[in-house]
Amino acid sequence: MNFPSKLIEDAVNEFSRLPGVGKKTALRFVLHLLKKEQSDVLQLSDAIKRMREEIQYCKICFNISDGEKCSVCSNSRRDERLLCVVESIKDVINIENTNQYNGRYHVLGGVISPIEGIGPEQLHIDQLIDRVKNENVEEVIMALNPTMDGDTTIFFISRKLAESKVRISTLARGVAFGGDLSYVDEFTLARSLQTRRPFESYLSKQ
Amino acid sequence: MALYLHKLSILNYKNLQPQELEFSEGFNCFTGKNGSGKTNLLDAVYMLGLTRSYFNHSDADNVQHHEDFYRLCGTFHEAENQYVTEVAYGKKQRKFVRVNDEKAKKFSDHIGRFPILIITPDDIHLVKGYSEGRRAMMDQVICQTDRFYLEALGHYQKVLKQRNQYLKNLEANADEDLMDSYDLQLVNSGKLIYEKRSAFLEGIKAPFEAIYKAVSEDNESVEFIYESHLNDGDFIEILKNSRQKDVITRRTLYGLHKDDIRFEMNQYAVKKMASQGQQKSFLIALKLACAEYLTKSSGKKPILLLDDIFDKLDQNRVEALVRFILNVNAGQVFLSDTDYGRIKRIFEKVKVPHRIFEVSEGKII
Repeated sequence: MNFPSKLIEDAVNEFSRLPGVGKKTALRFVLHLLKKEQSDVLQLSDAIKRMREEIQYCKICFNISDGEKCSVCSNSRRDERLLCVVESIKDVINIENTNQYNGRYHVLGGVISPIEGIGPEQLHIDQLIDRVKNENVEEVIMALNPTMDGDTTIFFISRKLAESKVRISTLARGVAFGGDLSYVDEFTLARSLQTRRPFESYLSKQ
Repeated sequence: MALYLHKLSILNYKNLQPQELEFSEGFNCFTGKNGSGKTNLLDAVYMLGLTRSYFNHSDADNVQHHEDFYRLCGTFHEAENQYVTEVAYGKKQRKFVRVNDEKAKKFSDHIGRFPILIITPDDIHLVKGYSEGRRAMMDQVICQTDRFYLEALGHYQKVLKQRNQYLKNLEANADEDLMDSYDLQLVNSGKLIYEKRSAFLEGIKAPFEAIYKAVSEDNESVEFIYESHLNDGDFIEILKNSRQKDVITRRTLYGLHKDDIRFEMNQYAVKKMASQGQQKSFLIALKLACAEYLTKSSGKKPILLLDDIFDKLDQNRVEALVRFILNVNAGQVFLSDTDYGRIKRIFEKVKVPHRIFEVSEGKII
C-alpha cells in the first residue's frame, strides 16, 4: 500500500500491529482520526500513554491495578474466604461481569505447557500457595480453561495445596444454559452425563 | 441399499484432469499404465471419507502444480438419502469439509460417516515394517467406528508431547507432582485406547483366520498377538516404575505409543519366515478382516479401495479373490490394475454390477 505521507504511513503501520486489524482497517482509523478535532485525538493518545505507563499489577493477586493493590483486593466487602484462580486478566473481567462472584482472585499468568516453555516457575503458583497459607482462604475455585494443559495445572496446584487442607473446586463443565441438546457436541454431553447433579441441589443453587 | 459413491467431480487434485465421473454401486475398475492417475482416483475417494490423503498428509502437495486449490465433490447414496460431500483446500483458503451444504465443525466429526478401507502395495510395511504403521492401521479403523476413541487418542498424544517436552527441558530433578499429573492424564485416556484396541484385535481374529485360509489356499496356521506394555499390569504402576528411567532417557519409555502387533505363521514371525506371496495374502486377509470389523461395528459396509493388489497374481487367483471379496463384502469396491484385458475377462465371468474405466494422463478415456 502506498501513502502520500510518511506520517500517515507510520500511523497506519502502528495500527495494523493491533490484533485483528489489517492495513485497510488501520487506514480507516487513521483517516477517521484525521477528521477529528486535534484535542479529541490527543485525548485518545494520552489515554493510551497513561494506561501503558501507569498501570500496575496487583502485588497480591496479579490482576491489573491502578495502584499497588487492585480494586478487588482492596475492597473489604469481598469475601476473603473464597479465592478464584484464573489464567489471565481477561478471565477476571469475564467473571466480574457475571456479578455472581464476591470472593477474590489469583491470576496465574498462563497454564503449564513445556512445549511453550512455560513451567510452574513462570506462573504465579508459589505466590498462590503462600496466599493460601497466610490468608484466611477456605475454598480455592479453579476457573481455568477446560483444556489438557488447564487440567495439568489444576492437578499440579491441587497437589501443592494438599497440605493446607483448603477445599478445592473446579468450574462445572457441561451443557450451556439456554442451549439445545442436539447442538451440544457428544464429548460435552457425555461429560455432563458423567458429572450429572441431583435435581434438588440444581434447584436450590440456581 | 448399501452405502455407495455415485458421482465424483475432481478439480486440481494431484495429477488428475478436471472431470466428472459416475460409478457403479458394485465394482469400479480403473485400468491404465503406471503414473496415469489410477491411485490418485482412489485417493480422491479416500479423501472424501477420511478428510485426508492416504499417501500424502500435506495438503499443499495434493494441489496440482501451478494451481492454488483443489476441490473434490462426491455424491454418496445411502438408503433413500443423498449426501453431497465436498472437500476443498486452497493455499489462501482454509480447508473445509461440507456435507449437503453444512460445514463440518471439526474434521473428526466427518470421519466415520462414510467408512472406507484401502489396501495398497505400500501396506506391505504393515507386515514388514515398524510398529508405527501397525498402530496407525488400528487407529484408522477404530476411529471410523468410535469418536470417543479419536478424542482419547488426541488427548493421549497431547499429554505425551507435553510430558516428553518436560522431560527434555529438565535441568534438575523432575517435579514429582507435575509428573503425577501427566501420568494420571495418560492413564485416563490410555485406558479407553487400550480397551478399544484389545476389542478390535479380538474382533478381527476369527475373520482374519478364515479369510487367510480362503485367500492363500495354504494350510499354514496364522495368528497375531497384541503386544502392549499395558498387558503386563496397571498403567499407572508401569509409569511410576519407569519414571526414573524416563528422566534419564528424557522421554516416555512405556505406554500405548509403543503398542505393536506381532504377526506369526506357524509360530514364527511373518516378516522373517513367510514368502512374499504369503505376506501379501496375509496383508489382504488382515485388511479384509478390518473391513468386516467396520461393517459389524458401524452397521455400514465400508467402501473398499484396492490399489493394484492383483499385481503378480495369476488370473485364476485374481478371479478367486474378486469372488471372495464379493462374498465377504458386497459393498462398493474401487480397484486399480494395469491390465485392462485381464479385468475385462474377469468381469465377463464374474456376474456383478461393474464399470471399467481406462485412465490415461490423469483422465478417464
